[in-house]
Amino acid sequence: MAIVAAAAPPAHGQTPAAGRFELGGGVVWLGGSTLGQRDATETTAAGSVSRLFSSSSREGGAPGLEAQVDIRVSRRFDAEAFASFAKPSLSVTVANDSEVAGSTTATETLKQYAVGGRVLWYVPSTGLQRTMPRARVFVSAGAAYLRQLHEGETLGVSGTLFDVGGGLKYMFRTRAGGHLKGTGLRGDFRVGAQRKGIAFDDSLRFAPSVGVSLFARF
Amino acid sequence: MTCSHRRVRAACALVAAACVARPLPAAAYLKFGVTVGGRQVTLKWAQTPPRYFVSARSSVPGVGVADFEAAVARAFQRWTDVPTSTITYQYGGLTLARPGEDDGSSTLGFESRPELDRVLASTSFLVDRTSGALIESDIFFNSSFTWSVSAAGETGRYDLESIALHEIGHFNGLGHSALGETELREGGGRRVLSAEAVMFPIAFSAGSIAGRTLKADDIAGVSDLYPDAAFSQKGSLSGRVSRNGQGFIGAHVVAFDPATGELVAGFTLNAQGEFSIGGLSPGPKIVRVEPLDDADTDSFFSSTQSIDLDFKVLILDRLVVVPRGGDSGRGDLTVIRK
Repeated sequence: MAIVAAAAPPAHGQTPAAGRFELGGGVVWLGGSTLGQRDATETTAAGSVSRLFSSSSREGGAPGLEAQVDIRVSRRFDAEAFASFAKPSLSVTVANDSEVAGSTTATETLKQYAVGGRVLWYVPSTGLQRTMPRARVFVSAGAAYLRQLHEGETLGVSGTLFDVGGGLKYMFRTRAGGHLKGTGLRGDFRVGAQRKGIAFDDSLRFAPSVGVSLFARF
Repeated sequence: MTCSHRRVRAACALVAAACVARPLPAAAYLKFGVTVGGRQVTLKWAQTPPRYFVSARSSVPGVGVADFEAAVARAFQRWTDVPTSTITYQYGGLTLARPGEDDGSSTLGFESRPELDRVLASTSFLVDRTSGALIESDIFFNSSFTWSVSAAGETGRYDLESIALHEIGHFNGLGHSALGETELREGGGRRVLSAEAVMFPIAFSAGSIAGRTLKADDIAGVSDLYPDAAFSQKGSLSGRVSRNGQGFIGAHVVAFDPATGELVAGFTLNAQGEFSIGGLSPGPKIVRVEPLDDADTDSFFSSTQSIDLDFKVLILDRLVVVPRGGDSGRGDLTVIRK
């Protein structure tokens, strides 16, 4: 009985594993968003507008990379710094041109960098954690500085990203001693709101993102 | 004075075009240029503000001299108000001189020119042959037409302020813009359906006051000629239009800003098909190339120039990014025959 007890793994889920900070990295998928519509117009003799063609613009979804550094602030809170990189597309579709059949889509590929921080709050014991004691569910909120470079990198614009979301961390293994306390897998789902950057007005644009990353706890 | 000077005419035929424009090769706009010693010199005021006078004979039924003075003053002020341009003007008062007299003074006024039945107004320049310097620029308004200075316009009468705004664009050194749509009229000539530049060569129909507002293309053009510090934040878009590997002159290239809706345009100005459009806000642009078929080509180019109209409209499938204070880098547009 004593041998079995000594070989039993440590309990997880309702209490954090040992270790104060985590390093993680993985892939994200950034959802796209609509930038808006604008007609090319000319003025008529009556002072009204006559449409030459219509345009609709969109920033496309794209895969990217994200790295995180999490520091445990308390039993339920982590503070996180993160950086991400992606290459979304910017496309403008021109239609309703009386001299051009169909529509034409003009595109360019952007480079997008974000650096920011988040707060993670670990949800108290849930049913999932009772069945998967190695898992911890969290809710997150954060903000980041956004830098987007147009194709050719001749023009860059800056903006701000806000996100709220949540996810799950699953510890593969833990160790009580040594620097490396454990490794795990993390999944995130967020809704982001972007202001400025590639934007045609000052309104917020919303887009979802999902991410999967591996992390090591120290 | 007359031996060393030459009068160049840019007749703004706001019913039908009769414009003598000598565009600079690969220039940003259809700016006027003169050939001096084998080189092209941009026609513009070297010293500002240029002074103008109003002919004391400037009255027609419905428009007195004071009305004329006030209307042209409003038109001059609109050009002065362009935030990215330094151009200003000085009013010298009334004069007994008439437009077109080589007297060293820029004079505006009415002239009776019934033989010019398609010409509402005309701007001419007196240029020093040896230096290319602009000495004077006169504008006449054809009193064979009926005119109005009413704030709301008058049916059947051409709006003096609108036509003056266009002619003062020539006075500044601007040529015509092709940003407009027309249809053929019975009996000849064209009717303007819509336009997005005051410098479009054909006027709106009598009674319209829609031509009193400068558009993005006009603003870019005058700012290119007389830039202020803010203009340095603008950028340009350049490239080449070709068909079957051959460039050609006279293609109309339009840059559309999907963020603001602004339209600014230029032309291919040499046999290589090169163009450059300046005064653009930084950011991605849609580029559209079309033949010059909404006005007579001699509204834009010398009548001796052969302008190719045999190609389909092309919208480039790549966004062209205009940098702040720089050029997009040359882009190639390949068109095909109709």
